[in-house]
Amino acid sequence: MKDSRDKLELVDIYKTYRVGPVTTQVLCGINLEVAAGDLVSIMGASGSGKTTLMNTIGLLDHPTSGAYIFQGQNTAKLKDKQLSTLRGRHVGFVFQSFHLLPLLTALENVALPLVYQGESRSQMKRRALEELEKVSMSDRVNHRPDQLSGGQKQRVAIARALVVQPSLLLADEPTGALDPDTANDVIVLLKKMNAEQGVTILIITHDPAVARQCKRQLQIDNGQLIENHVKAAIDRESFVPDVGADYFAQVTTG
Amino acid sequence: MFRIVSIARANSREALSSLRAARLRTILGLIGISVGISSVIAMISVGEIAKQQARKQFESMGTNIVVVRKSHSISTSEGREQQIQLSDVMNMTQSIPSITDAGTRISGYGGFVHAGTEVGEGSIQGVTQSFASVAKLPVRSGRFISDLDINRLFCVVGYDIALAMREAGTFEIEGSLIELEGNLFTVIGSLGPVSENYALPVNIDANRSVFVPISTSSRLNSKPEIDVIIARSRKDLNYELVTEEVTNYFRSRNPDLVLDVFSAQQLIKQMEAQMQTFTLLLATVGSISLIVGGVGIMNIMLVSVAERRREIAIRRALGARRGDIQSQFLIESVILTMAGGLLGIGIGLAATYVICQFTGWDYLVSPISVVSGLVTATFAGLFFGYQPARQAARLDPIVGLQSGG
Repeated sequence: MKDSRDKLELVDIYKTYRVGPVTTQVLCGINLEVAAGDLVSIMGASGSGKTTLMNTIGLLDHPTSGAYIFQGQNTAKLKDKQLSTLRGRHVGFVFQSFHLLPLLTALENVALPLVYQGESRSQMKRRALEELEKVSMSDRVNHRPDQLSGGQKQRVAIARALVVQPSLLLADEPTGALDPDTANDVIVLLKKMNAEQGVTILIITHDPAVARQCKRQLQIDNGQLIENHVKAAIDRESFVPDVGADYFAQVTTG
Repeated sequence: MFRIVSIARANSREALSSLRAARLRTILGLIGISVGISSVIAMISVGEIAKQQARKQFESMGTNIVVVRKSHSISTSEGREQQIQLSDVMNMTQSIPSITDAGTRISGYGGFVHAGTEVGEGSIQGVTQSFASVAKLPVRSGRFISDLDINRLFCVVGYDIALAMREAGTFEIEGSLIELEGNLFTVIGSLGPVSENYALPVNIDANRSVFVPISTSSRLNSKPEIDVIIARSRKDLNYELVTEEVTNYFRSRNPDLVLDVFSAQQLIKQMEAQMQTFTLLLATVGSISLIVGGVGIMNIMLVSVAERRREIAIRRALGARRGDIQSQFLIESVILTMAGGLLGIGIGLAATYVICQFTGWDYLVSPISVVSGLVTATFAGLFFGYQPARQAARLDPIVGLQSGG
């Protein structure tokens, strides 16, 4: 199982964007600790800073101030090369619009992260096939993304994210481009991976139905995180999906 | 180390498929670079072949040849033209230490009649015995003119004349008679074919000439005049020394006589200088087209980077370092220029072949040109691909993930 190094910790994270004279505060003092193997959802309205938070956690973006401890290291001090290595080995990404490379087959897409790990070709193929098997895509290995449905693409994307056996999987609106049934399949798959492989999963979503299925739920509003302790309360309510963040606001305040 | 190999292999494979995907752009890039490379190839090949050709000409003529000619540009003070004296030519080998052999001629022109038929017209050259050896005239049958054939009506016929005489029905050429400008000469020998050497400042045209003793020629010719001396120097000597000795010798004999002295080495140097001008011209054309082609490649790569910002960002998210992205685009541009280079080598060699057909030079594939074509192509790929690749590597993945394409 995962050791304590696999927990991640954000301490007082600020992120400011400066475009000309306009300064935008996107993240305002984020404090967050995520235990290894957790399944966390982060909800928030558009422009609330949830994507910036994910990019920061995924080592794609640098915070303006604050400390981010990942894999036992303060990432603020790391150079691009080390960040890339850390990201490649320990972080898997799943995006709303899948972001598969159109010229590569499903197999090649899944194997791509292994290229940057310097794996041998046979090893790459073996592991990519294994991963495609886990997401039930074994019969589509030589298909190009344009020959796959949305749900299938997202399965391939999940396989790609997990092929390096990362400690953390970041999913940015993984169901945003899918119909409800397919969306549910994807969430079920993510939950299964979390349960079976112990990978920490952070799902960014604005779909309460998705958030509801996570062990821990957070909400981001104006660059600040709010822990949502009312999961039980929501569960008791006769839940109507797709009402958005306003519903949460009502529940928390009400 | 293993990581680099693995990435390079994957990058090359993907570069090929992405070049295939953007077919039209790839073809345009190929055209640009192949024109540049083909100019470079043609430039080097033609230069190489021309040099080879010149060397061959001099090798057949011998690099120790010295040609002395009356200078055309000078008219003498007394208004009377100064002449090269035969006796001075005959004394050259004894008086000039660097000269081992010297021959000369008096040139005339006329028609040749044999057995009642005209067998050609050409120069009638009154020559010394040494002329055969200094001008490398191959005696095929009989013998050449001897210095002892004084005033004799003997002649040696060139290859084409001998051929014409055979066609006129004479099988035994030696001993047969030929009429030159009203005088009957006895043929004492014939020459084999001689290829004319245009690099020399003297026109011999041996195939269509008849050679007679110089003494005979000076009696029959209305205006006998020695126009050229062909000499041979000792092989190991510096040409400047030889030229100086020859010039000094003739100046001591007749200060009013102005001569031009040419040595093979000097001619080779001149020719090389001319070639250099030619090569420089081709190099300029080649470089310009290479730069134009290279800028085309750069443009294509910049467009490619702009179009694939999302792909770059995805790769970065999957663990690609800046260097990996840079190498990916460098490999792509190098593959593009190498392909253009191979195409250019083909076109360049074909162009060289056509040039050789026109000039009559022997065609050969110079390995140097092929190697330098490939090296230039690779270098062009690295040079013109560097900026786009750097731009790709510096792309912010966050921006790239939000962009389309």
